[in-house]
Amino acid sequence: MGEETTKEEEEEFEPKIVGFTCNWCTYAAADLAGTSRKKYPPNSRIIRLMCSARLDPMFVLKALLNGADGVFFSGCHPGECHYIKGNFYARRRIAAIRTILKQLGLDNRFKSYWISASEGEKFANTMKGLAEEIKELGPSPLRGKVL
Amino acid sequence: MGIAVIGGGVAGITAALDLADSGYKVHLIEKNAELGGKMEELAECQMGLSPYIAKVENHPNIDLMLSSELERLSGTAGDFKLSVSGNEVGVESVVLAPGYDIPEVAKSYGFGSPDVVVSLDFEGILKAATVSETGELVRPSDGKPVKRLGFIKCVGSRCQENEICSTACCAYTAKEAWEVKERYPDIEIYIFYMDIRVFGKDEELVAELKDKYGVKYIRSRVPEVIPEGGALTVKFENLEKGTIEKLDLDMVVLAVGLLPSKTMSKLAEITGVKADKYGYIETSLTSPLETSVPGILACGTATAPMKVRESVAQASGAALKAAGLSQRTEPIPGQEEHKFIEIGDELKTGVFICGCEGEIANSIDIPAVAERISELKDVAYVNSETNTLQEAMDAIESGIVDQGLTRIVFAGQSPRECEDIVRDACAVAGLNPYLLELVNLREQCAWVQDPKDATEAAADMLKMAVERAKYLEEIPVERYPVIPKALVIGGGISGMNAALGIADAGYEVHLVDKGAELGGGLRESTELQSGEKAADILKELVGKVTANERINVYTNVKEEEIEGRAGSFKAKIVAEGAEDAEIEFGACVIATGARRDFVPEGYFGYGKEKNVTTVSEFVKMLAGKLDANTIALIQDAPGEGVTARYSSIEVVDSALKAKEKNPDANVFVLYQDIKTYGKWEVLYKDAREKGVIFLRYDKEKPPKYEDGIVSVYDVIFNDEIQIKPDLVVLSTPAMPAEANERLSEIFRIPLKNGFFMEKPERPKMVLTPVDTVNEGVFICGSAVYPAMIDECLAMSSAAASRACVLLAKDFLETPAMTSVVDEEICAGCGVCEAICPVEAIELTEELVPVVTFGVTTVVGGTKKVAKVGDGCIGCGSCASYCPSSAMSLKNFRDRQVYAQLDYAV
Repeated sequence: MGEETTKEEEEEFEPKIVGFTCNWCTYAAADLAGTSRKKYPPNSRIIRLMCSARLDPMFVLKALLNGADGVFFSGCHPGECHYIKGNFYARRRIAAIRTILKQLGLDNRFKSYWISASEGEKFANTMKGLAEEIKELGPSPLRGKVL
Repeated sequence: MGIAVIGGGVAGITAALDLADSGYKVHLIEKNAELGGKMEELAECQMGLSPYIAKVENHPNIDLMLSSELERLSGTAGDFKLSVSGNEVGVESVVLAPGYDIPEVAKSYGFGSPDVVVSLDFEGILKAATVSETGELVRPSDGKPVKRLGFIKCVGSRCQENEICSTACCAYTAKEAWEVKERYPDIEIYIFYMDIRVFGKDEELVAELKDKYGVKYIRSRVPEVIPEGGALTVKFENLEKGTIEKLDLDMVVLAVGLLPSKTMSKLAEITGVKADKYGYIETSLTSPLETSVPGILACGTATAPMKVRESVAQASGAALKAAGLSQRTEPIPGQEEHKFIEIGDELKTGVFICGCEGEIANSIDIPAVAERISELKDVAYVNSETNTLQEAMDAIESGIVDQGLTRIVFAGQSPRECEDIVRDACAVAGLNPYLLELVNLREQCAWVQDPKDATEAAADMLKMAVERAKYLEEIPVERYPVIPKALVIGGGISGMNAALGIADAGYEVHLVDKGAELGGGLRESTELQSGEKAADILKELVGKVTANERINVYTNVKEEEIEGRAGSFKAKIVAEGAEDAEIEFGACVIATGARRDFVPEGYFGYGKEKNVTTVSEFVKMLAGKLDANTIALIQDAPGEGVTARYSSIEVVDSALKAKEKNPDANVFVLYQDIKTYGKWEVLYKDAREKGVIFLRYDKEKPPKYEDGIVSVYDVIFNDEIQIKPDLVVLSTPAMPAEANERLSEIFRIPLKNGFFMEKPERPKMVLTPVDTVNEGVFICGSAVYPAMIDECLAMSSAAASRACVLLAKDFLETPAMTSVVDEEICAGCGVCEAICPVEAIELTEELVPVVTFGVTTVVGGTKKVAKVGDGCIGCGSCASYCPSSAMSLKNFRDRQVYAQLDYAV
């Protein structure tokens, strides 16, 4: 295990990122980025939720414990939720998640965004920026250690 | 028989789908080899339209005739014979949706220089910039980055060759400018315009462009663009200084107008429909969808230049009218009841990877991915041979039937496009449709990543899906009957027209109005701009409504107590002087109209000075004797509410009428922008020719009325002008109906400035203008945005059409992805009840049995338990908040997400 990690580090570090998006805004924005062929790095794996309200703090923790170098969440702009006020709940929960992650020194690995269905360009740019940011941070200290 | 729809652009597609979805046979005839029309050239639109195209292509009730043209038409309404590229087609009615073409551009605009492009081509250049290596917006001539970009509006419209206004250009120019600024904030943008004719959302966008993005809007008609020395020189008149100025630009976009389709004259000849003097299909203010030939309907930009929103509303409306002449002959898709195979604990996963006609296969090495996936422990079968959605669906069906697969993983285009189709294929084959997992290989992998990375990513995405598929569970598909009745709220022209549309389609309608009589806002009008008497139109409509046996009218209605969901609502109608009525219905149309009773108390001395009045009062004065020699009409007088789409038309029309009545009178119109869109531009031209004097003022320097003198700073003369009027007429804003707030809460439909909002499918484009976030509720007329009569009629027919699509169904399915509670674990804390956005959760007292030695003996007491009711919309808030994990969201349970997470890193 240890050997593998070193080998990986010798090559250029490619972060593994997990993203949670809501179906109506950010997932649609990701589709729009595709339709307009706006390329971005392949580091993120997206998990589609119907609404940002479904973002359980445990999902974020589990992703980090699994060894993700970065985790992001993105939903509709506050006030534009398809489910009336789901993203307001999400926003509150994100604040709570941050407090926990701060204790663990992992808060800089968790990002949240609001990207609406028409912002395909913003989605692609966000993915680029995120990959670079996490690359700077280096591998997660939990990578290959916890589970 | 059936209905022929001619034109496969956005209007044709909309009409065809409304008809086919309600069980009519449709022949969709398109001259090109592909569907989509002009919309396919616009990036955002292409994206929004593609699910509809996919639906048309896979619809059992649509006979798609591509690369086909109408050659002959004979017969009459109810029995038309069409000859289409050699094929004979018999139909009962015809919808014409041939769309538009753009005009030839005059040489003086520097056209011919590669850096001067028309707006449609500019969309293409923007798209090309996106996929180019640098991603920069460059000049077509020399590849240098664009730093200064100009847009010139009204090219080929509001001019000698084409005197009318093209309506759509102001808004689409704003959208293009917005996209450029979003992506290239450093590019300077100059927009040359005559009037900014935008309403509602677009009005906000323009304000944002000016204030936030620093786009310079310059009011000037640009006479020429001179290409010289690598730059484009634009000459324009600086109105503030009164001088001719020059501006050097790198690239110029000409916002060209919309002309009738080039096929129009031939089409008119074949079908016999009358064209108006501009070459559009002739329709009228009070029958905007009917052509001169009974049985032939028209919609979209074939009838007048208009935006997508208005086009699709007309298309839905025309579909309803065409359906009225036809017979339903086809089954409605998705209505069959399916028996699902019992799968027990058996886990047999089949993975289907579709090449999407090369769109995926070009950048992902599908055989390599398939090989890696087939090595996974839980995968029983991998199919990577299919190339179209149809082939893939056939493969899935045979995989379920012949091989007994119990989980399906489908990798292809975005689930947002194909989810319904693939779930349906599973159900048809007998597998519970929720044992399906979708992988977005096209939009979120093949199209955004380099081939090497894409193959790797595709394999990872599939692994996540295969793992998640393991934990998917059967969700019972429950159906409930649709009540084939409608409720229409509002008895104005929109409400009455919607009620008649639905009743004529064969459904019972309850029409409620708060007033003592039907008629709404039109009762305040005397004469329409077309010269028709409002009273005559109302009399005819009210007569038709009251004579219609299927329509029950309720007047003096105070409120409606409504509960239920799409297909099955209940309401108690509380009316003054009548007993409460209990009704049931499957769909609701909101047509509450707008209020025009804003009293501009205090503005320009209104209320104190006797000679200050409003346009609505002035219109009434015009019916009688008018003894005023100097009249000043002030447009956009301040106040609460929004500027109606008819506001300028009404001002110009009444100014013109005053002038006609009293040719010696001095009639002044004080304005910021004259928004006489479309063919109404002729009215504006006529008014100027007849001597109405238009004075343009700036928002910052509004006109004043003091001591009997109106003073206004005119930005064209660059001087203050004083008028001593006998009469001051204020054009006041329109206000939302009082009932809107209450209805918004009942149906959970958001309001904007007090008016109802359509379902926000795509933020910068409206393809479903009368649908709302509530599946069973439709909106129309001035309840959405204060509009002209023709638009209200088209929209209310559209709302009726959409309601009928719903009512045509026998059953609807209850939402599957809802929350469930594990009562054993639930501690009854009530967090879920408190946060549920739709109040679908209730805490109930449950008896707790005590089990002694395996036998339930006594009841030990009670405990509180959460119960999820019918209203659950599946957002998942409760599942995320529940402290004891008793609450779960079906299809998004914790362990299903964890399964994905285990393979995501």
